[in-house]
Amino acid sequence: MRLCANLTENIVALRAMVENSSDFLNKSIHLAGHRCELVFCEGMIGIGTLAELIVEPLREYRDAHIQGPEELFLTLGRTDFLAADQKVVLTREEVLQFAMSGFAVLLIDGCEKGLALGVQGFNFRSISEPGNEQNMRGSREGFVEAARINLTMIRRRMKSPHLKFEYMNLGSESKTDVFLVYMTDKVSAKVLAEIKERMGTIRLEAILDSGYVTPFLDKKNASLFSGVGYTERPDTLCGKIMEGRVGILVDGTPFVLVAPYLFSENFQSLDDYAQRPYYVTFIRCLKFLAFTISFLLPGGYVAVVTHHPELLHKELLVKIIEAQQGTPFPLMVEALIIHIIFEIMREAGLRLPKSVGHAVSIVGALVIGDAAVSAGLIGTPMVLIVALTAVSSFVVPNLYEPVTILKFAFILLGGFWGLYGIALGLLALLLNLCSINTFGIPYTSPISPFGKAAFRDVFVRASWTTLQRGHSGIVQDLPGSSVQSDGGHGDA
Amino acid sequence: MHKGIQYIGRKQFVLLLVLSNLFSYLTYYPRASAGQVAFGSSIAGLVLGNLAVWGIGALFFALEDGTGKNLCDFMLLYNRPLGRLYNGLLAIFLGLSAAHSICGFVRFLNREIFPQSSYLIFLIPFLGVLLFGVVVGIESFARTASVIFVCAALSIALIFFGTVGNVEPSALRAYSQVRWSGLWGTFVAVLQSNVELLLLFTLIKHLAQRTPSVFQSYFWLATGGAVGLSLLVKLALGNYAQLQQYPFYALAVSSDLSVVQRLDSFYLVIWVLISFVRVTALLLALCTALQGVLHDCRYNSGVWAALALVSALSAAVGASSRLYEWLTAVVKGCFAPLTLALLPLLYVFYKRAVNRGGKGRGGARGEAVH
Repeated sequence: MRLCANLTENIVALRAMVENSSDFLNKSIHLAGHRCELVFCEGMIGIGTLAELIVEPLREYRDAHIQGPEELFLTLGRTDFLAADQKVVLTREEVLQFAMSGFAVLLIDGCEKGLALGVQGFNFRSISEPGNEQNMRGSREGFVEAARINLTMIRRRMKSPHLKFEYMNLGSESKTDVFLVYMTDKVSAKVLAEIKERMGTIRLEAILDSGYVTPFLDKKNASLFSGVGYTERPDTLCGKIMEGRVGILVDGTPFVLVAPYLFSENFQSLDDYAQRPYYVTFIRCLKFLAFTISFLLPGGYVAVVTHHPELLHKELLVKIIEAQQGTPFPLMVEALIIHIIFEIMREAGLRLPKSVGHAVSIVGALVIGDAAVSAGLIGTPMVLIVALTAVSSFVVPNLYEPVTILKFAFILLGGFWGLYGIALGLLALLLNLCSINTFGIPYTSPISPFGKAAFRDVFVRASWTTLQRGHSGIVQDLPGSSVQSDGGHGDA
Repeated sequence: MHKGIQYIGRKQFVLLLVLSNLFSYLTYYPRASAGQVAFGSSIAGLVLGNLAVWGIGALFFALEDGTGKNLCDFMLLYNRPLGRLYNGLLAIFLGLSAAHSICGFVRFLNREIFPQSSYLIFLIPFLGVLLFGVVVGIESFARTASVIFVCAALSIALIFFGTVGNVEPSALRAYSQVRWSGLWGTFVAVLQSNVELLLLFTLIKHLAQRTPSVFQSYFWLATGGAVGLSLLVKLALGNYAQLQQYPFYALAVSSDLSVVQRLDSFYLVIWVLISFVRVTALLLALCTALQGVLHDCRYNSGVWAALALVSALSAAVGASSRLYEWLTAVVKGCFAPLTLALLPLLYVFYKRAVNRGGKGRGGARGEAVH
């Protein structure tokens, strides 16, 4: 609804719209003989900034001779010593939106518009190293919850004129600030248009985390794996957008979404590009092995010991049989129980305060593990299997969620059908992985469809001197992509 | 169910066909149906048989001429009723062949590895994965097949390393014995049950870039794989292989690595993967053939009905040895794949020659030729 000329009526209407919320404040001032109101939200603005950039300069207009309210509005609008971020607002909804985003809105009696002045000064967590993406080398900076601070972290690293931030407002009630970030000369117009189209379908009332947006970007994907990734590191995001990807910053969360996101990216980290290629190649192979172990080892163990003991050497088989002889449960049930206990421990350790979390870990590892083996409830090899599986699953943290579910599925398959079940499960998993297309690019590219890129930055990480020769690195140029590189049309 | 055309790459297409062909050779061992056939004769017959397949493939390329059509489309183009009949017959044969491959695979499991369990316990999950493969479409299936090819190659390499210690080089002498009768028998056997020829002519519609090198690559890989496997079996097992129903399985049983003894379980995994590729390829070809028979509005229900029939047939045939033998005779014994590939090919050649002749004469007589 448009602002009216009567200031009192505007203030009453605005107060009614926020149902007289106690953080919604308005301060009366007189400028050049005209009654004005400064409207803002408590805690969203910097009091010092407000005093320095608005109240102090406005004091000079207290006794000025300016004829009408419109003229006063134009004069204030032209004043260059007020806050740099200025917007003209015409409706009451806009007044509220700006006030709730850390602006102070100046309304003048007799004038049908207001002036929003950016004096954001809310408190936010200071920039620190991200907890989930720690690196040995490279920057120690991680994203914070305030999206605008995150924008500066990206801009500081990418001083290119092609870097573009695009603002969106999502959530009918939360009015969350969302920014798309991409390189206009790298991104595919098709991918960008599709991302915007899918984000346009969000009809949620509140967007409180980037996880709320993911399912809309990831739709048509019935899989445990997601075609949308996330990062907490500005340097990683800069690397991604340089490959033609789009970053999606959601205000209120340090996790920035990245689309399109491929399977092989789960095995990459920023350290890979700072360390020597031969070592990174070894680490990459290790990560792929750890990923395989993390979902396949418990199921494989159950399958081999239950259905195919002939595979094992006699000595090994005897030791396993001795360990399992006194246990009351079948191996499959034993594996399920111990893995469920492990997941309960992990979840408890994750949500509890750190000091209590450590205690839970000790109880889990020493008391339950040791006691269960001593009591003859669980065989020692199974404890070893759980430990190996758990350690391996933390090597690729991005894939922890699918791995957990797959682990249980493979235990069941191995328990019921042996290696036949494992093979069928692998087939279904492979089919599912290969059927995912993330914004027109196969999720498994460049592994399948195979491309030379697999020997540049997937299994093997070539050196920078090799990578800079004839390697565009652009995501839409990967094999199987239906979104061929169009030279960047981010402005289109 | 994907009705529209999905495209796959040349290498993906070749790998898919090679894996399908490998299914036959994992169970195949050059042996005589009556009496002894010299090993050299059977290998030579095998190579010649594959060469003949290459030749027929080249014939198709001479016909195809970059039009983007498969054999089913050509038949429909030149004679619609005959084309529909051909598509129907092809779909029936592909369905029977798929059911035969499913039964062959599950019967192997049920006989050799899990003799105590019920046939259906193994059939049902396998059918589930097959249907999933058909539903996701040929594009995703081809990507999966490429990964399977690598897994299969690694597994076979593992079995090779596990058996290389048992190899008896003196068995190589058998190569010197080549007799015409044995050679001819193997040559015919390779051709009469070569389902890959039909897969080539049907699924080529999904090939993004068509070059005759598809057949060339297929020939080299398929022949190399088949000869390599036969040679390995012969050298490691000798004449014992001829007594076995599943010689490659017997080879895996006898193999031994220091970490694991007996590699038959690896063989099981390979065969699950390869059987999946073969049967899914057959089912996808069946879906493609049905496009020429069914109207658009009935396509989805028709395909589901066909898949249900194949599943029911697999369940019924697997339970009865007599039915299985009958199905084997139909699929492998009566030259059906060769007939379904060669006859329409020759017919289309004939029609094209007649049309060209007519146009040429018309032009000469000054009739309207635009």
